[in-house]
Amino acid sequence: MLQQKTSWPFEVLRYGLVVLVVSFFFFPIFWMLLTSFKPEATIMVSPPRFFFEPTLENYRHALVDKHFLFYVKNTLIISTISTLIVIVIGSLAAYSFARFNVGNGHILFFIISTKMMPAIAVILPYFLIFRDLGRTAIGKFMHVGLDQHGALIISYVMFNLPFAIWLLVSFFQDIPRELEHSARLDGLSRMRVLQKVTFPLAAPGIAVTAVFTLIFCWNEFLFAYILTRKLASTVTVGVESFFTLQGILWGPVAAAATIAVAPMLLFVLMMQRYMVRGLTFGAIRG
Amino acid sequence: MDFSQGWDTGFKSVLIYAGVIFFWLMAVEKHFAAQFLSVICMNLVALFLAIFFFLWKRGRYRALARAAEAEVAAILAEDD
Repeated sequence: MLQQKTSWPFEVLRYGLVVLVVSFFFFPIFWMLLTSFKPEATIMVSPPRFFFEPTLENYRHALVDKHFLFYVKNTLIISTISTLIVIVIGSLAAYSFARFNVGNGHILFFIISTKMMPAIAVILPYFLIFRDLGRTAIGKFMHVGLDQHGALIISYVMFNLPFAIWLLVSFFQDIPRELEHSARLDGLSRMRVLQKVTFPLAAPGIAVTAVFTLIFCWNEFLFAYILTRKLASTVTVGVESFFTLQGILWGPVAAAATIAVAPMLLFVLMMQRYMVRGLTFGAIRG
Repeated sequence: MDFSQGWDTGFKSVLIYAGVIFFWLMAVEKHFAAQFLSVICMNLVALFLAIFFFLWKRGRYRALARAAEAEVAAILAEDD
């Protein structure tokens, strides 16, 4: 027999508990989706309505009137470039920490310690740096001034790199050194060993780090809010733009939030298999 | 069907339900004279497709599990 059979009352209880917990965590997302289809008059009524005549008016408002896809495009550019830079620099740095023990662990600790302060603590220096950098010739050339993509890309790289390095170090440490030694004995250079042996073995770990970095960049609000005004604003700032002086437009907010969540949701769904493999990578040691 | 398969299939069923609602409101609803009727039809179609997908996937997972168990049983019988 492959699997131990359990009694049906226990199974019902177990799955009932699972459904209860999942419902608790999914309710806000369900409510956001439901609100995005509600006509304005039925959104804030008490008691809340589950049955109503659905409409796409909120989506039309977000997409046509507010051009929300512009924010999605900005977010896609900034998040993708930031993630690529973080993965390239992070994997090389993590490899050197894992294999050569650079700084005897002190530098690694220093790197992760930069994550111990809240983002709000460094936002003012960042603002001043990018304001002044944007006025220089090189700053203009590289688009790193305020309300430009480069400023957010650099900020996200700076803020996500420590996390990526920290995560990747453990993945590289789990790859046996003997594999690299034997590849070196076969005549491969250090870089070829990295390319042909180490990185392919660490691919699940790199994938999971990339997914997390992308999610952090996509959902980031504070830097995007302070460092951008209009041209480089991201989806989180775009959703906030529905908080007007006349009041909060809850219907368009829900529709915009649904549009903002959708790409990440589909991406994570596609990457789910690799994420689970990456998260359990090296969990069992011989 | 184990928990992770159930989770994955259930989540995709929800996405199918939401997808049908988007498609219906964009392309189908304008052909209905009464919105009330359209909403009822939309929910029935979405529910039918979501449940059909779930049951279809469950059938496939069960068939896969049966095939795997038969394979293991055959290997065990060979060893004996």
